[in-house]
Amino acid sequence: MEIYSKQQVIGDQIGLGTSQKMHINGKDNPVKSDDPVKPFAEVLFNAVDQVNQLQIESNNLEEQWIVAPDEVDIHQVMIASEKARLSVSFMKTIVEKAMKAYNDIMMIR
Amino acid sequence: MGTFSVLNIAGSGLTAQRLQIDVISNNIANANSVRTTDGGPYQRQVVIMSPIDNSLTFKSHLLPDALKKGIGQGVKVVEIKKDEKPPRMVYDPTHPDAVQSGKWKGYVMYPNVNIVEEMVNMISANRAYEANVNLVNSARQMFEKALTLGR
Repeated sequence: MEIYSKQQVIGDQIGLGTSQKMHINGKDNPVKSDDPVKPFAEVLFNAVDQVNQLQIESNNLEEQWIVAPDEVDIHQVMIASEKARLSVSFMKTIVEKAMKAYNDIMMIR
Repeated sequence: MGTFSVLNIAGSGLTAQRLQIDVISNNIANANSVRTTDGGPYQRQVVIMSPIDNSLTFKSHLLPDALKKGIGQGVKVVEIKKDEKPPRMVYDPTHPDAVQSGKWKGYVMYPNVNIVEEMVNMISANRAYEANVNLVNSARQMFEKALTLGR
């Protein structure tokens, strides 16, 4: 049933609709990740990169707000900085969890 | 739809309401402008909004349910239209722009702007803006709550 790529679908309905049994009338139709064996380091680097991208966006908007206030709305600046802040705290939480798992394994004696 | 879709959608709402307020303030500022470059009095402007929809346009009942369009992506302003209501006629024969002849001789055409109506629209746009700000804040609170999972 993989006729359409997931990129074509807007909304997270398709993810829910095909991954959870209770949403597809109890039928078994598991969604397989495109590449289930991506190394964690790569995932982390990608995440850090995206977080950095959000920081840059926020920075640019703030700069524009100062240089040319007519071209940008203040709420855009606030939302961009909020996105940047939230993404950093997401990343921090994930890294903390990973480090905790690593430490837990190292503590096995 | 990503993690920050709420923020994007609410942001589009904020932008639209900002524009609405801009247009309303222009209407109020021009409530007494009897002369424009197009001739005639200033005409009230109305903002037309519509949902942003850049998803698949191909529609077929053969598509599986899962491919139906998800929630939208916010709001956009499609047009700023002129209100075609007739102008307000005020009798003032000494005014330089008074009508010279005919049934409306001595009357001046004032813009079809009703200040009270504009004020009500302004309050409504203000509240809509506030609602979108609240949406952003509650989304942020949800994200932060999610981060405390398992602590």
